[in-house]
This record gives sequence, C-alpha cells and structure tokens, in this order.
Amino acid sequence: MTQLGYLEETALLLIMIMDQEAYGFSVSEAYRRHTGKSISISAIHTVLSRLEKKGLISSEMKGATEERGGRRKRIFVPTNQGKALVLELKESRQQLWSQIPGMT
Amino acid sequence: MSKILPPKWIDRFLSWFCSDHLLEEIQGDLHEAYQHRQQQFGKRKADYHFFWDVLRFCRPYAFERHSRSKQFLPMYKNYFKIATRNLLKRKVFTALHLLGLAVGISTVMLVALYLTHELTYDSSHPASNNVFRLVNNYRDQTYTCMFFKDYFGSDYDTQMRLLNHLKGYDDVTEACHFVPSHSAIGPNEKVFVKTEDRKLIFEKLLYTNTGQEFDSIFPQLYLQGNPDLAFSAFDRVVLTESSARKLYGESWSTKSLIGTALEIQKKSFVVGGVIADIPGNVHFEFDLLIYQQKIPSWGAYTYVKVGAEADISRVMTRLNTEVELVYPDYKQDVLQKGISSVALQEIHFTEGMLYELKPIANTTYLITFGLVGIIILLIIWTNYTNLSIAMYAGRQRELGVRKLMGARAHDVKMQILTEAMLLTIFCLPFAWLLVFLGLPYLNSLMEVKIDQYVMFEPYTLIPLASFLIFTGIISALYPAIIFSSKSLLRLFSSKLVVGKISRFWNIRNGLLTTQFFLLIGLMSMTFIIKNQMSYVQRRPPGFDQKGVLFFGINGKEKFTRLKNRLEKFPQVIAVGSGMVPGNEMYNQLTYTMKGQEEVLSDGTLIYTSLGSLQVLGIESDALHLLGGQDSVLIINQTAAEKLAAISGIPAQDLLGETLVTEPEWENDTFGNGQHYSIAGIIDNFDYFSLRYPSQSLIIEVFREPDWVYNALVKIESADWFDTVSKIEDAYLAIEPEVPFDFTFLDDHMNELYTREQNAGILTTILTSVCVILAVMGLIGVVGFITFSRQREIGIRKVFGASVVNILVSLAKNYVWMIAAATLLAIPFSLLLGKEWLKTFAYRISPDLWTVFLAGTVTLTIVVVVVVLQSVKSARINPVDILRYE
Repeated sequence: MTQLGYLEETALLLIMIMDQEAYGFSVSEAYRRHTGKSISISAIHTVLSRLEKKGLISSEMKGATEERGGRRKRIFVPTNQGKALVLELKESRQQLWSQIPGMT
Repeated sequence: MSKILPPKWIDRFLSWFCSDHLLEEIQGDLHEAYQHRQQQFGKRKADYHFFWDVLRFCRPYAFERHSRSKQFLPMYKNYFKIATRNLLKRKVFTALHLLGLAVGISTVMLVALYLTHELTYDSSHPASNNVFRLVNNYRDQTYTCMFFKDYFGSDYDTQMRLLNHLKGYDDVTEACHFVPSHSAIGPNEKVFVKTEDRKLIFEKLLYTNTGQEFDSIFPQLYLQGNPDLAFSAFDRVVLTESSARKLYGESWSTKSLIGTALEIQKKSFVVGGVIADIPGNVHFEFDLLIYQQKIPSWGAYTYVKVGAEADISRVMTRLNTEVELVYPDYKQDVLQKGISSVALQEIHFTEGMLYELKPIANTTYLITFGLVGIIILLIIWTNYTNLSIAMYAGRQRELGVRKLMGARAHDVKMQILTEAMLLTIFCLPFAWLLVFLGLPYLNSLMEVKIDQYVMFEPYTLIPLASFLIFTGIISALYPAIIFSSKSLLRLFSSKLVVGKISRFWNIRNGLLTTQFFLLIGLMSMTFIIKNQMSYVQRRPPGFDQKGVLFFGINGKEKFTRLKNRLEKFPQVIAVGSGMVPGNEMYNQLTYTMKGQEEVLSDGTLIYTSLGSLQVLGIESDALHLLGGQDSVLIINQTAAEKLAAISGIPAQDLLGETLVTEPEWENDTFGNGQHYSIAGIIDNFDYFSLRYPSQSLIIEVFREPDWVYNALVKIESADWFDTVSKIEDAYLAIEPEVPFDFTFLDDHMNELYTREQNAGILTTILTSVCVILAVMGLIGVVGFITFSRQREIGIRKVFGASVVNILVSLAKNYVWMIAAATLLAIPFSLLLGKEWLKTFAYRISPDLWTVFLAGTVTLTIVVVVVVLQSVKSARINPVDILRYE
C-alpha cells in the first residue's frame, strides 16, 4: 500500500473537497483555513508534485485569470487510485476507532 | 487602474533559476498570492512575502529539468561529433587556430611566471619582513656589504665585531653575515672538491662563520641532518640537494652523508647536512655552504633580523651613534658616510648599489612585459571571437535545421560553447608543453631560475587551464547568444545574422589596429636593439682583443715560472698579468693635481704590468722608462682633460706634473695623498662596458709586479685548441690544485652585453608571437568579411571588376589601419627605444626609418594573408553566388 504522510494526506483530501478548483495557491489557502497554520506555496508545490508522481492525482493546465497575469493554473483532480486510497485509509481508521473502548 | 505588480527583479530571478515547464504555474500561484496579500496587508508586506516565497523555491524541485531535456542529454555526444567533424574538415585552419592559441596563451603564461618570479623575490621566508641588510655608504657609492675593521687581516673576533655589537641590541634578535665566493668581494675562483672516489669542480660556495644565525634568518629545508648538527663545529660543509647528487651520485639519498669527509682545496671538511636547492628568487645562491672560522674576504654581506615590534630605524640610529665601538675612527674618516639598511624584500629592487649579488629587477622590463602580456591576452580573446563568428556565419543553416528539429535556444547555446571549449581543451597539452619547453629559454634569456617543476604545481596548472577555458567561453559567447536567440526564419534567410552589429565591429577594428601597433612597436624595438648591438660590436675598443685569453693564477712565483715556460712556445706572442678590460664599474677614488683645491672623485685606479699592456697592444713612450724604474704612471685622455680643466694646465703639458690620489689621506711620506709624476697620456680605450661614459683611468704600470692574481696571454695560432691545451698543461704542471679556467677576451667583452643581446632575442620572439597572432586574427576577420560580402563580390564581377580590383577593395581597409598603427608606433617606439638606449653612454640614436621598415614588413604580411584568404572568393564564378537571387 502506498505510504502517505500527514501533509500529503491532508492535501489529497483538500483536493477532493475542492473539486476542479485545486491548484497550488488555492490548496495552500484551504490548508490554512482548515488547520489554522500557514504553509508556503513552495511546500505545497512539492507535496502536489509528489502526489502526482505517486499517481494519486493528475493535473491539467487551464483557467488563466487576470490576477495571475494571464498565467494558467495547474488544476489537480484525484485519480481513481487516489480515491481508492482515501477510502482505504478511512476504513482502516474507522476500524481502529471502533476498537477504542467507550468511544462508540 | 493598473495592477500593482511584484518587484521585477525578483520575478526575473525566479524565471532565471526555475525550470521552464514549472515556471508558468509557480509564477501564477505566486502572483495570485501576491495580489491577495497586497490587498490585505499592503504592498510592502506583500513584496516581503513574495521575496521569501521565491527564495523558498530555490530547491531541487524547481530546478528539475523537464523530461524532454533529459532526452536531449545525449546530444553532447552529437555536439562532440559535429565539432570534431568541423575541425577536421578544415585541417589547416584548425592547425593555425591551435597554433595561435597555444603560442599566445603560453607566451602570456611565461610572462606571468616571470613577473611572479621577480615580484616574489626573497618573500618565501616566513619572517622576511623583519630582515634587513646593512649597507655602508663610502665616498659617493653605497656598498652592499660591510667591511671588517682590519679588512683582509681581520681575525675571527674582529670579523665578528659588528655582529656581536648588534646582538647586544634589544631590537635585534639575530645577525649573520656571509660571502659567496662568486661575488665581487669573494675569492672568485673555482675549487676542486674531493670525495673518496670523485673530484669535481665547484664554483658557487658560500662562506660563513655564523651558521646557526644564517639558518635562523634564512631558514633552509634540511633533507639530511639539521642546523644544530651542521653548525656544531667549524669546518663543516652543507650541501645542496643537487651538489649532493653531483658528488655522491643519484643514490645519494639512500646513504647517510652526515659525517662524511670532503676535501676542498686541500682542506678537509665534514658534511654537516643536506638542504633543498636554493630557489631562483632568492638574492643569493650557492652549491656548498662552507662553515669555517674565517671568511676569506675583507668584508661580508651582513643581515639583521629584528623583533616583530622593533623599528629598524631605531637600530640604525643607535648603530651610527655607537659605530666607533665597532670601527674605531669611523667618524674621523670624512669618506665614511654612515651605515644604512635595506629591507630584505627591497634588495632585488634597489638600484645603484655596488657589488650586488644578483642582477636586480629591471623595472622597465617588468612593466613592458606586463603590458605586452595583457595586450596579447586581449588580442587572443578578440581574435577568437572573430574566428568563431566567421566559423558560425557559414553554419547558420545548420543551426537553423537544429532549431527546426526541436533544439531550444539553450541547446544551440550549449552546442556552440561545447565546440569552442573542445578546441581550447584540446589546446591545453600543447600550451602546457610550450611553457614547459620555453622555461629554460626564459631562464637563460632573463637570467632567472624558474624551476620546470612549477609546471606540475596546481597554482600554475589551474590558471593555465582557466585561461584556456575562459578563452573558449568568451570567444563563443557572442555567437552563442546571437545565434541561439534568433528565430528560425532569420537563420534560414540568406542574410547574415551577425553582420549588423556595427558597434562591435568598430571595437574589432580598433583592436586590430592595436594589434598592428604592438607588432610594429615590438618589431622596431627589435631593429633598434640589433642596431645598437652591432654598433657596440663594431666599435674599435682601443686595444687588441683578438687571440687574447686570461685566467687566474696565484702569486708571483707561479706566474713567473709559467711565463718562462709559455714564452718558449712559438704561438705565444706575449704574457702579462694585471688589467683585463671589459668591466662593470667598481669603487672609485679621489684625485687631483698637486697644489689644487678642487678634488675630482671619479677616478679609477688600475695596477697592471708592462706585460699586460704588451698583450693588449697599448703603447706609450712612457713605457720605455720602465728600463730604469720599477713603475710609471700613465693616465688616459679623459683623465688628462679633467685634470687640465681644474688645474689650468693644457692636457699635453701635464707630462712630468704631479698627480695626487686620495688627497684626504694624511701620511708621513707625502703629507697628504699619494704623489705620482705623470709619465704618459694614452688614448681612451674601453676599459668599462660601453654603458658608462669614458672614465678617468689612472694606471700604474709595473715592470714586474709583486702581486699577481691572473695572467693574460696573446697567442697567434692556426690551431687554437691545440695551443690552449698546451697552455693548460703548462698551467696544471705548476698549479695542480686550482682548475684551469680561462676566458677569451673577446668573449669576455661580449658577455658584458649579454643582457642587452637577450633583450634583442626576447623582442624577436615576442614579435614572432605577435605575427602569428596577427595572422590568426586576420584570417578570422578576412574570412568573415569575404563571406559576408560574397554577393557584393559577385555583383562587382558581373559589372566587370577584375580579381585584382576585388582584392584591392578587400585589402584597402587594412592599409589604413596599418598606416594609423605606424603613426601611433612612431612616438612609442622612439621613446621606448631612447629609454632603453639610455643604459648606454655610447649609443646610436633611434631612427624613424626603423618604424617605417616595421610598418612595411607588417603591411607585406597583411597583404599576403588577405590575398591568400580571399583569392578564392574573388575568383569565384559570379553565377555560383547569384543564382539564388
């Protein structure tokens, strides 16, 4: 099974939440809103490229905007493999949760 | 309202380091973040964050090359192949290219080595800043050595007096003195050194009786033994590595030489140590260091080392106040002008001192070489830029095709740079070899001692390699940038991409003119030096130097025996001892006429024998008086004129008048000075080198002098070799202990001008280097110009121009450049020539025609190159060029 770090996992989940609107800057903003901690864009880029290399997300260049100076975004979407991995993660966590006494 | 944008330079920095395929998204994200922050916190804070964000992208992730460029990596192999093919396609051109580059770079390298050698004189010792040499001012001259109180007659304690006195000073930590045998004050004779199985001649000995102190002021590297051991007792000898090899063979280092006995001139010594050879940039040199109780001279070269905090001027003031503790009556002597000091590192650059051990640095040469080196370097760089532009102009389409096939700007740039570097790297071994082989010549020409071993040192190899690589990069940079940035269409159009940059070409013309200027300047200097040397050699010296040889011999008794023997040989015309003409200046003395107030201080006193004058063919009626008296005094014309001027007696009437030498010396015999009656006046002859104006010579001629140190022999023979070996046999029969070391007088006279003759050889070499470089530069420029004007040539031919017309139109420019360069070279060469000729009192005046001659030679070379290079284009059938139009 593919190993995922905490940052990678969070980024992957954020991408799934954002649906077609996930690119470097927006992910870093979402991360900040979600965790309350700021993260540099370069760190997010590294994480995203790592996820892409692992085949969990795929990307496409599109959606140039005025405030980007007409530069396109690299929009990330989860691959099927990515989706399956998230489900798998969720199930294994759930299983652990269910075994904690007095927490059901 | 226009949008507020982040600072441009940070943006540019990002696009510079960030790989192309990532740039768009990264820059987009950063700009978006910037806009948000800017609205939220204001421009300053946004700028700050933007800057840090960019810096944080400096990580491998952002540098990573796109997968496509990874596929292009093997292209280097292709660049290499194409470059090799191109170089091989034009073999002559490549060979010339390599030759020019190797010759140019190695010349620059040799100049750099020479300058480093000269400028680092005496700076290798760790405490060299605190070492000073003591020099004595006597009369109008400064002696580089100190004297002993009783001169030759000083015993050990007297010799040590000055040093012992100095050692009593708090500021002085160490003091030593020595005398090299081959110095002006040394014994100046070669000696036999005997080991158990070898007997060899040595020339350079260093005598000292302060061994420990010598080693602490001038620390040596001991290969065997140590200074404590070496100087534990007198009569020890320290060998240098090369003399150990000479005496004990190649395997000397396998034996322990310490304690072995050596016999030097019948006296036995014990080897106390072996040290590394003395480097060339030290102001003294020796093969053997003799540690004995008495220094065989009337004085010694004296050095003090002061403490780190001490002030040498304090030492000197105190020494001069207390000088009479060392030299009684020093202050009474009006001729003694005090003792002063010269810092160790200044010794090599201090002019005008008497008896310096090695020739001092010639500042004119240093500056001239430095400039020539820099100009040559500039020429190399422009030449190679020109050459590579010319080369790529013909390959414009090839580069176009590369771009069409998908090469990016970066790839084209890399290709051009790789090709240029390939040639320079290929050149490296040649340049290295040239410097390696050139070093011995440089050493003998410049009288320096640079070890060939430096060619293996990283501080030589790294600059050499970087010179070359830098030359490669700089020469290809311009075409690389131009060709890589041009669009495909421009590369395929028949118009040349590089033709338009007029400003660059003007600089190039300027540099080409500079190059011609240097060539003409150096060539005319060569002519001037050659003319002066032939003037010096053709000038009659005023005595007979043909067939005269001389050698050292010790004492009257041996000389008389030898003379009697030699006079029996039919080939020997005359034998004498004493004066040998052809000298550097030495100490002078005061003289005047009896009863005169005014005293002249530039007299040279010579003691000689009747025999020596007979050998030299110098005649005077006064010599007939020698039948009745032991000695006569004759003076030369210069002395006569000077004496006539101060005494008012006409020069021809001076005969029989009384001449007084050293009038300040009070004595019982004459009251003051030494009195002589002038017996004869002879014509001037070249006793000194022609560097100096004619000096006043006061010559005392003895019939049979009691002191004899040399012998002069005049021979007339068809078989020189045979005669000389007969003389040698006769000599060795009488003096078996000292090797027979003879010199022919005419060789001796020529040796005076070795330095100048070497300067002539050197300018000839530099001129040839410049010719090679100029030819290289021209080939590049003319090649490019004819290529870019091909269609013009075609059209001219269509309209009826002949081959000659076209060649003239191509060569016209250079004629103007050479004319300008010649005009510029006139003041330069004449001034430099005059400056150089100043070292001679007898000299030619530099002529204008030498510069014009140099200009004409340059013009001829240029025309030949232009014609050879462009004749093919000029003869081409216009249809071939114009058919595409």
